[in-house]
Amino acid sequence: MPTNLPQTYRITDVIEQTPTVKTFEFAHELDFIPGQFVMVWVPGVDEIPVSLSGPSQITVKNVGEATAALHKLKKGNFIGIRGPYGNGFALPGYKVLIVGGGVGIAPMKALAQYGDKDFTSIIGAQTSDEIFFRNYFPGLHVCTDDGSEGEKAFTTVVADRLLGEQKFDAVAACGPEIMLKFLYQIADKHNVPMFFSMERWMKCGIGICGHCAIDPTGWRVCKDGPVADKAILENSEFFKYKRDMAGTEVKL
Amino acid sequence: MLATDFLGIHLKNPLVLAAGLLGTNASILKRVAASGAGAVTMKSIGPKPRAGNPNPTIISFGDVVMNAVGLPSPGYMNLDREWEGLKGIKVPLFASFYAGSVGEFAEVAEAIVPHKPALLDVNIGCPNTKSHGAIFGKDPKVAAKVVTAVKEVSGKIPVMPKLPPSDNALEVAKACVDAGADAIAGFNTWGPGMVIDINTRKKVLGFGTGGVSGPAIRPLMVKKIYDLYEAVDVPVVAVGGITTGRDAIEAIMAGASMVEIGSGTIYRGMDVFAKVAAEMESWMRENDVKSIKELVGSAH
Repeated sequence: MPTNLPQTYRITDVIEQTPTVKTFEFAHELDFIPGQFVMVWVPGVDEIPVSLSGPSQITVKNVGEATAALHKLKKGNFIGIRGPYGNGFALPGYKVLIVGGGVGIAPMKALAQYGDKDFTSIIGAQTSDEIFFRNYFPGLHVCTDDGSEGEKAFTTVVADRLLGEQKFDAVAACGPEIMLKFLYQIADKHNVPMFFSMERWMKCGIGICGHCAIDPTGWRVCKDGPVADKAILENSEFFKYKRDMAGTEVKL
Repeated sequence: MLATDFLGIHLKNPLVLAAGLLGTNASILKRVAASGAGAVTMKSIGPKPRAGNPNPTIISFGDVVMNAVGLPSPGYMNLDREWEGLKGIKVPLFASFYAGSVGEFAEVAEAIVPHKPALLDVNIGCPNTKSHGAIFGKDPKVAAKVVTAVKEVSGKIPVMPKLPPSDNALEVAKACVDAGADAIAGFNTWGPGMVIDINTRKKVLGFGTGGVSGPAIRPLMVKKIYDLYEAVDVPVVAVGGITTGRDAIEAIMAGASMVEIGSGTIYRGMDVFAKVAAEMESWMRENDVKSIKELVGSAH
């Protein structure tokens, strides 16, 4: 019988990756596929989906109430974990281009570290302060909006160039939806299979409440995803609109 | 063999997606419809946009499922895309809805009726909110007022209140039938219950408490459906922990004309409907039962 109850584990380490991003290590090792996520319970506050950056590790940006409460937790405190959930990256071929934008760098680190492929990597953020996990990415290209590190360019511009220069079997990516929107067009132009880690408002995390199901297929981000391929992405609500906590449509 | 009629609604089987699960938008409802359900119920539509409770909202362990989703809804005024998307749905569509006052029940029902759902499922049973749901389903007089108000605007669409499993549920059911209810669904989730994480000494569900469902409560449901069948002379619908063909037949023998499946999707996936239907057919064939109607209430 399925158990979908948060299990609380002590935080064994908190690493400040950037001024806004922290990694939390917890005292339990999960058997996971890179790209899978866990529901992280901040006891007494809220529970949010977070992609794993390692088997005992989540990496979270402080963006709202739940993540702010999580960022206040210290080594020795408890967090609740249920999962891993979702599909994870299942990539064809061997030569794979990784693209990670902002806190989307975190799940791509798990892929770079544990995936069995020949990776080339692009990670990007607004500024050098927000780049992290540099040492985990093979063949790394760093991009910043302000040019404070690596190329002064969007990740998508570098992706377009690399896909033009070399033959890749797949593009795997996570980042802001606007980045993925342009990356979709670029991967499509170069005719390379794409696998993007997507996000929608989640409640149950196990595919039964239906809240994160997308139009028009009813593909559930939590259960059928979060990694979507071209067939799911094309002609879908992705890059156009999403639904908020109430289920009301919000334009992107 | 499984095809049946419920208040004039033709169903290919008597298995309905229960309100509250997989019903938030048209796309997922159509997917459930394609996976074998005889009918599907939209997640309860509210009088205004409502975010629901903080997570965790749904947990499960062993044979227990608990939820305190808290009736999130875009509100009836923000459902154009979903109604449009539901036009092509291949099975009867039931519309569940809730409100915060008797007048508001009529207001929400009035907004739903023009979209012609096959049935109005009146949510007076949800335990996970302080101002909606079960507060209208525990007092026979209040429940009757809600049904009367909805019947005034429902036209030809059948009205089915879904009750909480209170001690006085039979009394509430009779009052609803007297007020014009065309069928009674039993029951919303039980309890509510509570789970405490012992490491942090915190309540796990964001709302603190949550309705209890899943196979563990099935015998409680079967007994109450059995009693309900004898108490009212309108069709009865069973919901609560049904995950197999055997469970569905049991509920039908207790008196249900139709059964709803909710938590069964956790245990057996979205295609639980096709699986349960196949199991029912196989049992019926072995036992020479030709129709669902032969089985309804046959344990009495």
